[in-house]
Amino acid sequence: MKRKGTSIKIEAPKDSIEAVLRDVPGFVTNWPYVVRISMRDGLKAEIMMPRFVFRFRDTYRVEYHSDYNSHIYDGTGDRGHLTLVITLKEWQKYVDVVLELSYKGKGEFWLGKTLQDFVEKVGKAVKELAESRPIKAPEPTATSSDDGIAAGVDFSNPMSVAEFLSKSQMVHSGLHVISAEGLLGLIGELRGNIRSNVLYISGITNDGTRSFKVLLNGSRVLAIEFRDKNGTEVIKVEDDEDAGKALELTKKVQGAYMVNVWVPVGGV
Amino acid sequence: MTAETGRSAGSTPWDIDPFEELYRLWKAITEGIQLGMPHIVGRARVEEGRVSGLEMNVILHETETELSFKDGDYVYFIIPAKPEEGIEGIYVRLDKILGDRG
Repeated sequence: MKRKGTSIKIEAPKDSIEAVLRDVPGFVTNWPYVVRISMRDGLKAEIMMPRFVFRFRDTYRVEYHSDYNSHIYDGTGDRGHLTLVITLKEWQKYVDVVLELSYKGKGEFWLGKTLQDFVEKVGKAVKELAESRPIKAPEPTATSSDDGIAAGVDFSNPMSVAEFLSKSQMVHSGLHVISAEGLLGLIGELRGNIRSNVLYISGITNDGTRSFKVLLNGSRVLAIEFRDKNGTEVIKVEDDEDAGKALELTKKVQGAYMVNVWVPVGGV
Repeated sequence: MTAETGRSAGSTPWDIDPFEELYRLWKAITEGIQLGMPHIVGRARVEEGRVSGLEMNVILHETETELSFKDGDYVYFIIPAKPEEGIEGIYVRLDKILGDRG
């Protein structure tokens, strides 16, 4: 058994940090060395830990438990066992977050440095995700009507998109280079400047051969469309399985896109 | 940067998918911006407030121009196509014109 740990200070409310930690698939996707996530039949994460010229690759079935101040992610793989315990301690202006990672399995005697990197990068991810969440949600009435507008959108029906746009406003436009698995990173970056739970993000490459649309409520993907020369894939998220597929689809979005962000302006 | 939709009521009912048409023109729009100001010129068939047909092309113009008129069941239009507004921004402009004229 190899144990590594770290602790960080996060200047965000405890609620924001807990929201990040409870969104298990979203959080695990942001771990380092995670190469694939599958939601079919429970959450599974394929993790590849590098050391020297070796790569220790295994698929872990991740289970999540929590109590009043700690969050435990228990990963059981074919060749190893990985446990991450995150403990929160709330102070007036910040939250102390202690992370402990233990690993038992193939290569454990060599992986010390990699595991230290692993736990530090997870800490960094928690910090970034928690601090980029909007501090205050918009007033409840607006939220509920925004939710209603968003719930009606299905990318396979262009008229539902038209309906949404007629009640929306463009708040951001820019050229963004999206790296591998970077759509979620871009969403986090955009969220930092925009105070709306519901976001419609659309991107298209210069030559128009690839494009995407994604509708989000908080960190949840409600619907996604990706089109390239092979055709168009559309997912409207209705259960956990759809959520996993939607997450997979976000990984196909790579390259330079002209990105526009629309938010509902409220009112019907 | 912001772009108001201008109308808070529902959008024009379409019997065809305007987004598909705009995706088809996108390449011409982004290539055009290097040479001039791309505009979409075309005509839409509007019957009883529903858009049932749409033909569009991209042309370049020196300055931003917006023009539309109605002749029988058809609305003829020229609208600026700004790549930074994306497909959705161009759609909103088009929808507004057809809503006003249709």
